[in-house]
Amino acid sequence: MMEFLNQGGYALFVWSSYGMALVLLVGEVVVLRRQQRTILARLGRLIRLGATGGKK
Amino acid sequence: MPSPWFKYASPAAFYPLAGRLIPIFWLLAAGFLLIGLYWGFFETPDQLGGTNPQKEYYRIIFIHVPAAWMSMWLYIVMVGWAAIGLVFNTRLSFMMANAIAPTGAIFTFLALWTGAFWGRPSWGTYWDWDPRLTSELILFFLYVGYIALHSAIDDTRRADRAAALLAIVGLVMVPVIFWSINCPDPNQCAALHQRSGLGRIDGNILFSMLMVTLGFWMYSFATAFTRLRGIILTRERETQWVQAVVSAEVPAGVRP
Repeated sequence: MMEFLNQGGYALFVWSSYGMALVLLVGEVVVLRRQQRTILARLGRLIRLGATGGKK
Repeated sequence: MPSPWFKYASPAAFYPLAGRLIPIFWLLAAGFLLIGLYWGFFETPDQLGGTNPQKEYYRIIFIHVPAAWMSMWLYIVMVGWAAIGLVFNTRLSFMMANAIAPTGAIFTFLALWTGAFWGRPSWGTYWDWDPRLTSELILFFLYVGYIALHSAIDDTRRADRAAALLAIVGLVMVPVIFWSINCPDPNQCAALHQRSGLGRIDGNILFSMLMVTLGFWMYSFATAFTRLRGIILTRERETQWVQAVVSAEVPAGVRP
């Protein structure tokens, strides 16, 4: 296990690369999910506003 | 003439189709990535090359090369949709181009980042103005420019057209990146990326690279389609079908 993590002494370079890949790809998915929820919530509000003609 | 291609060119028809396809693309992406990374780390030699070999750090190849390929491929696909949008004036094509750009920018950045961490142990530097590094950096700026230009113009239709033109002009960078190694002998000119070919790569390494590439590709489908669904909802918000979709998806608990 340690040998695998060590990558022949090049752990910094190998894991910095793979780490950034993980961060960016997972990060994109998290941001996308959040955007999706925001869009749905915003459109939901707009539609309800339209349905009541702007009156509360 | 009714054809499935034209049927799904309508945002209303493509929205549910994309929703059904996204989970499949996630599964495929996870599968290909797991196979590719397992094979890359455990079924490949610890060294690359005979004389003056690359040590374990060459394993960065399994994300570096797939990310670089995806950065160019996604740009070609993005320009394709932008051009179709310009020629046929189809709404969904522009939305597709819009949805691809951020994922393409991420893969371009990833190719540059992993390249820096591969360059440090193998060339002794994180960055060098090698033709391929430089042209890939320009590709990154083109993606960023496309996104920035689009978001800077308020009128969506004008934004679509202007950004599409920028993307099409920028397509010239893709062949430049691809052929930016015209230096057969590294001793005679400065080219850190050397000529290579799929046939000259060890089979296990090539297999891992191709698996990760397929994984990244499926990942791109999944994220681009997810983003596309958001864009469709936002742009078509005045239509009946979007209002029905939103009413069904927004939980009833938040109603006033």
